[in-house]
Amino acid sequence: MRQRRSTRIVGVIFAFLIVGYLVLPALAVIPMAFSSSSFLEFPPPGFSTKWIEQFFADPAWTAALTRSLVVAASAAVIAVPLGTLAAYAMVRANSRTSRATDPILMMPMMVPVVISGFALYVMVLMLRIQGGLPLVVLAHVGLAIPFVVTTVTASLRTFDFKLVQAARVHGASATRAFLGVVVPVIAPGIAAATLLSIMVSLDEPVIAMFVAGDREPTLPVKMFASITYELNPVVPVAATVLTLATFLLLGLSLALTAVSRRRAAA
Amino acid sequence: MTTDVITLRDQAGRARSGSAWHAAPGLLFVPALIILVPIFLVPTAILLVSSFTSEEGVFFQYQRMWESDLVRAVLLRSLGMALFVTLVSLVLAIPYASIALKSRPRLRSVLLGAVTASLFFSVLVRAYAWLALLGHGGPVLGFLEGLGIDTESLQLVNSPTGVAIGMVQYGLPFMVMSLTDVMGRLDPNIERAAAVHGAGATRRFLTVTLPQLTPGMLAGSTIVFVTTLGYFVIPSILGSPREMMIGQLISDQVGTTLDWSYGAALSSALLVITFAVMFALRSLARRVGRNAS
Repeated sequence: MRQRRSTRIVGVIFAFLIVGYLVLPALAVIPMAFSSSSFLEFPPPGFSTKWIEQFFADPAWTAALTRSLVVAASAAVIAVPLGTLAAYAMVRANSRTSRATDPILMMPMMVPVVISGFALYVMVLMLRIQGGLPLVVLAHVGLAIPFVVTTVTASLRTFDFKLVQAARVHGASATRAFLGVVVPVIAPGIAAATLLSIMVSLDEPVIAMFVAGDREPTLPVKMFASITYELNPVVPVAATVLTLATFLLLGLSLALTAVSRRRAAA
Repeated sequence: MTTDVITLRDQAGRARSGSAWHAAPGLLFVPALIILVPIFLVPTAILLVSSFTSEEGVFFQYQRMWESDLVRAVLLRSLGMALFVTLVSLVLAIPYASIALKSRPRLRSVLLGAVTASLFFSVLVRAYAWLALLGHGGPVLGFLEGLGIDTESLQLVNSPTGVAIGMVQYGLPFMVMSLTDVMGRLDPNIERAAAVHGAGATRRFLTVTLPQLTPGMLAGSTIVFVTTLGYFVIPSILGSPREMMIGQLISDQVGTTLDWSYGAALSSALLVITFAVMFALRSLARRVGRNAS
């Protein structure tokens, strides 16, 4: 069933057009950050760094950036251990318990964020509790948990639990066996889950807008407001900052995959 | 729910002699649930209940919704958009996945890697970039003009076209990943057998390969359809307020009109449709799976 050469070439061209469609638009924001124009123009008419200077000189934007980084890091620090434990339970608990818990764990992924954000907003008003950034962190923990559970469960499915038994026989406590045997083996999965959690939080404007919107906007909230209401020329700078953060996370995850592959081969 | 609490308690009793790791792994769900139940489950339940607590009567908001032409138009538009985006993603993802899997290892890892990498890109950034690329004076319209197409009447952003372009870009990677998952496990001998019996490439694809891909197509379609239906960020950046989707209508009730009880009723309508679609596609997938085995 060899394909004709021409068919194959057309196929590869089609595939690269799709790759361009998926990847290139996100890169278009980088030249726009160096634009000399105050309008949304692509390609930019000239080079200038004035918007970049303006972004970093404006306390409102830098505060939003700091808030986003703190929220994303805190959400990942909480979501990854909780999700990893839940993934362990998913693999080890009896199937009835797992099947009953699964919809709750996956709920933040299935329910549109507009509804989750609206619901949290109404609850904050009803209970007269303080919303703000801590609540945004908890909500982002919830959004990240389905990703952590899915990723870590996939790693645990191939884990050989006889290793835990062996450690236990040699006198390790259950917790020690988990930290010393299970965690190192599934570390690539946990690392991927961490990067996904950070990304989910860094790219989430809706719940953050409903819960902490006006007083403590995160970077995506401020970007979203700027895009929909005023088309501020500083937005491409904020978008570039986010894209560079994405590259950093992607590079890290590629490096981690390479390391784990080398370790698997050894 | 109650039975699970009882199982958990039973396991807790047993756990005292050993530890949760071994005796009651179900207990390890608890930390995640401590966040998810009060932050997601309970507020959503309260929201849905509040759609029935309007002063004018229990079903007042639902009656209002039922009689509203706007709501009907918005719901139909959202469903139509979700269906369109799902079909376009399928049509693009099937050849892409098969080209990627049939190419040499190096090219294959580039093609599949690009799909995974694009999932990492911020949706907000991508939608914003489309605004510049598709807008007037942007490269896409410039290119079409160069081909001699009249672009005066073309409205690529602030229109359903823009939403579709952005949503397909968002949904396509999920579809490709669901398909490659299934395609990678297909037995090439089946297609070879069909070729030996004289089936041409088109016929082989339609009657041999495509039916075997159904589980992946259904899994991918579920993700793409459900996310497109209730999406908020992409339609509000690339769409127009005159042709809004259901997520924007809900958000309007919260932020602009402050009609929360109505917003709650719209939310439960969206949730019911979402879960109905998920349930229908899942039972379809189960039936297909049973027939295949």
